[in-house]
Amino acid sequence: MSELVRCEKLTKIYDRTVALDHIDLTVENGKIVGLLGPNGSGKTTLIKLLTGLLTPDEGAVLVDGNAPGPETKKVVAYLPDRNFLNTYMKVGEIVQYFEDFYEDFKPERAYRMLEELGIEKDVQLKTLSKGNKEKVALILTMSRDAKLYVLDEPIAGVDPATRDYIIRTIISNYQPEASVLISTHLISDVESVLDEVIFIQNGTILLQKTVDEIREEKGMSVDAMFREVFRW
Amino acid sequence: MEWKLDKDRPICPQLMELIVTGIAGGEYAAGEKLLSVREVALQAGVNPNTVQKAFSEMERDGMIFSRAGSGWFVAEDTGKAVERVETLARTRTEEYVSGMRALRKEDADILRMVEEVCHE
Amino acid sequence: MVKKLFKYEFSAMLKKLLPLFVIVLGTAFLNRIIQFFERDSTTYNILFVSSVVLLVISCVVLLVGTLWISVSRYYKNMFTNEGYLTLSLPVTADQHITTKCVTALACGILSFLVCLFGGMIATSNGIFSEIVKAGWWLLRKFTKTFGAGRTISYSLEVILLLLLSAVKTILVLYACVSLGQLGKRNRNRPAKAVGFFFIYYFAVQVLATAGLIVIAVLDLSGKLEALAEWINLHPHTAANLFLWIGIVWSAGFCILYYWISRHVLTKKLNLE
Repeated sequence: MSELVRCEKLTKIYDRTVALDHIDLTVENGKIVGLLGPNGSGKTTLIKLLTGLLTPDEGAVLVDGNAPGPETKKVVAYLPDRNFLNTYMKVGEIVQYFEDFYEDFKPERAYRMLEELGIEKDVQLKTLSKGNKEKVALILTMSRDAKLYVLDEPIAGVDPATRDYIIRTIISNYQPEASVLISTHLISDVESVLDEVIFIQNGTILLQKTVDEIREEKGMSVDAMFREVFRW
Repeated sequence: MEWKLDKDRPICPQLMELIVTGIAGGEYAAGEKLLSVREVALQAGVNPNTVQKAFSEMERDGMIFSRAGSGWFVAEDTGKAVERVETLARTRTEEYVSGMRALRKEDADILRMVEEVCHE
Repeated sequence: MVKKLFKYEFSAMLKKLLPLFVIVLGTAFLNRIIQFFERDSTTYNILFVSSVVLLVISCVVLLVGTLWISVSRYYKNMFTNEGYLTLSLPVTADQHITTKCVTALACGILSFLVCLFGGMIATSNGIFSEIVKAGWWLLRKFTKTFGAGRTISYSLEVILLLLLSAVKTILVLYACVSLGQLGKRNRNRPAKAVGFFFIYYFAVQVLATAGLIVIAVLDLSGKLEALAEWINLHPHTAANLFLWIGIVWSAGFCILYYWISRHVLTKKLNLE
């Protein structure tokens, strides 16, 4: 077991709001971890710091021993919570784009999954339905053999069947040495897939436990525990 | 195989229960090839690590074995699985009876109710 | 990795520029064809002049458009939702800025060449060869008067200065776009970028005026006369000196504007 992600006193401040308050955190490799918290808790800020889209104000974040930069971006596959693909591109073009820039990208895997969904190469992304656009983005992300997959709200805003598809895709593309960090507030859908959960609120980590610890110690599902911890 | 899992309890023991029940009940014959870890994870919608743990434990208990490159197989001697199911059944019954006694039911009532339900 | 960046940057820009190239060349051909019907009539004159105007306008549109397309690509690629994709690539901010700037410059030169070609087509009835002849004559005169070495060095210095000015224009616009994305209100980023450009423009005017005032106030007229005499005595040193001052000045600002964009991308990024 080795440390894939390490945060030490990681802090991010926006104007006068402290988005992340001196966070200490480690994620080992080979784990599927849920980053759970209400909106505005700092989940997305933490994720952007991990993926190098934000720089810390204090403290440090290391991914596979490196500060976020081109070295970490090579091994981190990031799925943002918004539509980030250039919709004027065709499906085949965006697959080529990923293949061009990411050494660990496996186009055969992507095409196989796209075929299963009946999405053709020559289709322009903007003609796809919202659900299909999200599936394509997920497929592109999961077709990489990354060390760390960071999925920001992958199942929010889609219908239950798509949610199932997304979870199945995560499971079937999962590599045993890699870790997956899933940030979400739809817990009951994902909790069977998680090894560990991190509860975050107001920029601080409330707890980090394995899912089994929660079920054994509290005799409740992670979803139930979340409702208890974050009760108004 | 219907993978009905309870999220209030750790999933690994539940997976083992389901598979062991299948072996003891004859759904999986001795020596038969089981689904791969990945297939089980996909069908049940659970973490592959959890399935791996379950398989490893069942292997340790002698109920299944793995052949490198070929996958997981039911052990020739299904006796262990049958034993395990018996133990589980016993535990469940004890829990049930104790639960009924907590409702102030007499043993005779308990037996009667069980018979009625069985005959339904 | 940088090769791939260039590939995508060039193909995206060329896709947008191709229609404009076609328009410029089309109006050039139109102009040329109209010239075949040359005669002494008002109808012809109107047609001819209109086609010339059309050609000139389409050249201007092409040149301005090239700049506009490259700056708006910079904005879209880095600071909108696409930024999530672009900035997750295993590429440094330096590589992003440099490839975009170089592509913009190359496309600018290409557009300029297309306009030149259009001009050639429009004047291919003999006027062009006249222009070329005149150009050669000038060049020969220059070389005879000042020597081949000086001609070459002046030409190179002028070209360098022009290239740096072009790069400076591109980079200042990138810097304005980058600065526009600072701050928490994310809705008005393009407006803020334009705002920064006006601030820059205004600042340049103010500084130039201030410079003139300083010269007037300090009564440097005596110094200016001495300077004029020195220029007369050493024309080549003076010319070279001024050219090189211009080159260094431009280069310095290029570095400043490049640094602004890079600083925003590496330290102050806040995609929404």
